Amino acid sequence: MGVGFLIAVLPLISFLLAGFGVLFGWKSFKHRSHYFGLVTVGASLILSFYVLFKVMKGVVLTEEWFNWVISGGLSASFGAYIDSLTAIMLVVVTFVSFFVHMYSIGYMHDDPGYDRFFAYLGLFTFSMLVLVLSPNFLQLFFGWEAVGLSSYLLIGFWFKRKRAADAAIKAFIMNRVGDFLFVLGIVAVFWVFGSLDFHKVFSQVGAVSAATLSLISFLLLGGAVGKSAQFPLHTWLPDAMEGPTPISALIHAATMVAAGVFMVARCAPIFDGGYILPLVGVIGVITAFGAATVALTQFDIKRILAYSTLSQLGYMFAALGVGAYIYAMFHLFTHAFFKALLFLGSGNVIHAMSGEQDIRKMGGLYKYMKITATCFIIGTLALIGIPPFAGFFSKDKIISATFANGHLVFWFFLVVGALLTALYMGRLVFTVFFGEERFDVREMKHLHESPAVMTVPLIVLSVPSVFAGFLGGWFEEFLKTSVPNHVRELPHSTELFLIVLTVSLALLGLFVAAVIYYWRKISPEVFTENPVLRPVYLLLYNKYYFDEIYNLIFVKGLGFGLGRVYAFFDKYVIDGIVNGVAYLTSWCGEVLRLTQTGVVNNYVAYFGIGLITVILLLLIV
Amino acid sequence: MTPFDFFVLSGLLFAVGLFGVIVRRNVISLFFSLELLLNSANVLLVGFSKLHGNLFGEVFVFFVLAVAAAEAAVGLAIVVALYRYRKSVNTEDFSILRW
Repeated sequence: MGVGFLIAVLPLISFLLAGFGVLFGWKSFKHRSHYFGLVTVGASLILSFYVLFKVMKGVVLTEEWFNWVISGGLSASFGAYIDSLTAIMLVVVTFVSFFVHMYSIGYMHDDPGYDRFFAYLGLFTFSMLVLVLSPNFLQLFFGWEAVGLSSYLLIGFWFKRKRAADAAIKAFIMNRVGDFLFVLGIVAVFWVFGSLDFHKVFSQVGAVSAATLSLISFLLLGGAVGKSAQFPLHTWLPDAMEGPTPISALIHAATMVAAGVFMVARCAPIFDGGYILPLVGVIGVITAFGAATVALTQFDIKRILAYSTLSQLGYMFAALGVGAYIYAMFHLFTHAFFKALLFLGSGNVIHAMSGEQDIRKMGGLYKYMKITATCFIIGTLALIGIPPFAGFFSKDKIISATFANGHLVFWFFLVVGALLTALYMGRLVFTVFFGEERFDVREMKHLHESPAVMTVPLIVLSVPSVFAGFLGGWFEEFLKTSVPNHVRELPHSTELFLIVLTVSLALLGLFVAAVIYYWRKISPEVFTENPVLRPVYLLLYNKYYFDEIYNLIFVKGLGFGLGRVYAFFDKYVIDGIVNGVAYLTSWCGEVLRLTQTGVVNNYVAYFGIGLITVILLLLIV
Repeated sequence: MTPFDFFVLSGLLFAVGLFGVIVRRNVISLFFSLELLLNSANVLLVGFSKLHGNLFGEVFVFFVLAVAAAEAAVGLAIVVALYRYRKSVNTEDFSILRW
């Protein structure tokens, strides 16, 4: 027990209090449920900072809360292992979670499920903290599944809407594919190392062959790909936007989806030992580039942000893939702030438009909601990577790390991805906040800036979105104690050239977006209706047809085919065995009953045969 | 006569009796065959008595005869009852307990 225990358990208390309120219908709890969340997560936040300062002095905190499983050679306990990596994650999770709690007071105000929402938020925060605190693979897996459960519950929060319920199930099943590999990975770790403890496992890595490590890291990567929504398991994340917007900010942008990156960074010794890292990079680059192209064509404000999240997670995976673990974590760190900011900002927009999410029906909103618009633009600039905003530092480090380590193909696609990022975010901002007002008069009356509980979190999150980038040097030094970082030094001039190239491309993207969507010199139809570009546009607009292909292959093809095979097997083999036993018994009865003639002489004959048999047996044996 | 001859005689009697019990359908004939079975045992007892040179076996034979007489009395009463019931003493007419 210790500080780590308190940090993790406090949000659980919030979950239990609010949850009991829901279960027993306590009226007095209903509209006070946010107090539990605010107080407990706030306390966790303060404790996390306390832990961070402690760890900064060079201490590594280890705690053992209680033994969970002791069985033969397997022993796993709940506990905490707080090194610099965990301390950073604790602060990020509790910080974002606290402000999302605060924001939700305003956003969910009129929702009948107000208390249920805060209960789920508490559960999620608890699970995420357990995940990042874990000292062994089993607790990591517990947290991993628990965040998956909370994510499922919160995506399907408005479960009466079929699309939300479907999206929740889809997220859960897609994650299951990854988690299946993850479980196998954990089993493989135990098989090879004889322990699940991070410390013991990582200290024995040197004695294991690279092929074995590759297999283990491939299986673990499967889990990370599922949870962090990377290609090819990425399709659940855009659909997860059916959940309430604060959830999109907290779970599906800032914290949970980053768990995959965190896990890979945590298991860096295993990944370093195998040959699988280039695969991580390829997956990351495909996702970073592919999602950015899809984001260009979407019209739903939250979906655009969701694809941008995919793309940024792809950058983190690309960084992991070239061995720049610390830069991946740094991008995770800055991304958590500005992406939460962007999502909460989009929540304000949706709130003001009374639920409308189509950017074609917005426009000119800057006039009406200046605070939200300003914060949103700060978040956008941070995401695009305009200096001195946070995203510039982290993204630029990733891009130059790919270049420095000689992965020029990765580098090319990431740089083009940076251009596309500027393009789609520029499109989003110019369409939503500037230009003509495309909404109707009825909505105009409703249009208003959000209350303070919804703008203050935005303002607070803008601060790290602007300044977190300057922590880069400190961050690198701090994380060096727990995470390796393999980046070759670049000559200063080359590095400067790369920075200038990336920034100018980002500015170019922004300029093109402004030409098309702000000054409206070129109509977007020029591209969408162009006979050459039209097929490309349709391909992107339909998200590369991933949903359709998966539906065809796995639901209609494999699912239907396997269903037929299983049905056949069940009908003829399983039922055949069961019915066969019955038929055999029945047939034996039919035959044997013929001996029951009712004639005394026959019975005597049986008796005689039996007697002779027994005598013969006795004589022989 | 050696004791072995007694055994052979007993065995033959038993075989004849068993054959009768299995083959004959008339209940009275069955009874005759049953008496043969009993008496094959008696012959054996007498043979053992001679073999061991005492009278224990012959004493047993008397008991067996007494029991056989009682059995015959009860059995014949049953046969009479059966005949009254079915007007037949053929075992094939008493097969209502079959499948």
